[in-house]
Amino acid sequence: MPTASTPLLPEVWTVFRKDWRAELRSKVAVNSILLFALVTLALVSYSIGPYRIPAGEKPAVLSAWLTIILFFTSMTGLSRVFVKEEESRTAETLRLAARPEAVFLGKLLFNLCLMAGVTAVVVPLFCLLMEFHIMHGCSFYGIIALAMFGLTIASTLIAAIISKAGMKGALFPILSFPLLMPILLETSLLLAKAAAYPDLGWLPEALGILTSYAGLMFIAAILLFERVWNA
Amino acid sequence: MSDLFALGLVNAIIWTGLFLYFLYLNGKMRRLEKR
Amino acid sequence: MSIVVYLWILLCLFAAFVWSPTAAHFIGQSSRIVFFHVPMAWIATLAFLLSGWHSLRFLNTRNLAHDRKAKVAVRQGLLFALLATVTGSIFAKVMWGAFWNWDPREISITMLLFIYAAYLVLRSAVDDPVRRAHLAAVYACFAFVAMPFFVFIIPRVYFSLHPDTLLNARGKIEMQGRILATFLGSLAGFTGLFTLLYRLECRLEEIFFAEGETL
Repeated sequence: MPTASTPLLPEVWTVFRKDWRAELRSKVAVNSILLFALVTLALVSYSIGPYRIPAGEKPAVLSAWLTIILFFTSMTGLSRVFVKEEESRTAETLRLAARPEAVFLGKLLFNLCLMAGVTAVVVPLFCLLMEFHIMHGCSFYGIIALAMFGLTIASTLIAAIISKAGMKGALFPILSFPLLMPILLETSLLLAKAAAYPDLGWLPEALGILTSYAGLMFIAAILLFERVWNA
Repeated sequence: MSDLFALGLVNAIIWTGLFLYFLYLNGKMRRLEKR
Repeated sequence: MSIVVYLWILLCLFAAFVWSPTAAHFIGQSSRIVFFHVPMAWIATLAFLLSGWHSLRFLNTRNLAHDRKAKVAVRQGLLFALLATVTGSIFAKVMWGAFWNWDPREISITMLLFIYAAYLVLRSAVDDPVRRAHLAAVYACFAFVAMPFFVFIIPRVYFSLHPDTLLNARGKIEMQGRILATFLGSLAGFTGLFTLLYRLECRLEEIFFAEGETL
């Protein structure tokens, strides 16, 4: 059993590195998530294309599309980090080897890196393919980053929950959606604003909402994770 | 939709819904008693 | 006890349709909907609070009775949330011409519906009763943390189609006289009804558990 003297951060880093190395070996999660995102992008780009939507409508419609793509992409890949442990029966060992907080933080870090990488590829590609001209690049990407941060935190806890249930694949979106719905609705609204308007008056409020969501989810997840992990 | 019709519909839905739920609970109780 | 509640409800129905006047700024008789729609939404929220409370108690005490109570609360909450959504949607059609508008309050009730449904799906996906109780309780608590954030913050921030809340931004109570009395009476009556229903089903669950039937 881990003793109280083991410092937290090195434990977190070890958990993270273990998952990272395992992922680098097989690249399953990263490949499937990227492929999913690219297929969706291709579909949207093919069926709608850059010229079908009038320029005035573009911000609202394309922001909604982008949020949908990012949501479903996250649903494809973020549960793997826990489900893999349960399926390969390494979860028990991990329970013995590291504290719950370290496990959660390590896996959260992994999921964050995964989402960051995918977002960094998908969003620019989307803007390119759909001729999405953004008025405020900084706030656009900033909002995406913050929103994905909050989304990943909530999804990671849900991933832990579903890894212990049956029907994991189908259950993950079902459980995640109600909790993520507000952040998704918010994000598509805010992205539309960032893409359309030259002024930034709405930005502080928006950042406040996104940050408080991420913070709240983080605290709740940390407190609740131990009960899930040992259930 | 006329306002009176809406009012009637609202009431019908509420009371039917509650009644059906009550029947559902009754059914469960009966299933228990049958054992 | 139940007789009192039933009689009170009948009294409230009479008051809602005959005794209280209609309010200004509404189309015809449609303001009377507030005596039915708002109590439903209130009870859905109450049920949510109950389920969160019992889930928390379960996580603290590991007593499965709390898990059963939470499950009952969610089930009944789903019923009342569904009723609230449908009645609200009818009201929306009369007042604003469209059944659904994605007004912030409507977003909140949809979220609540999805959370309830997801909770019940989660319960059905786990076989072991103790693990099921733990996972369900954690999900309920997690949802409990997320919900108020959106129920209270977003409607305040963005414009809402909903009529002013009972206590509006200035802190005054907008309803007057008979309307207020009928509204409060209706609220009390439906809360009494919910209490009866909730206690009944909780007792049922206890008996089921004692007899050895699970789920």
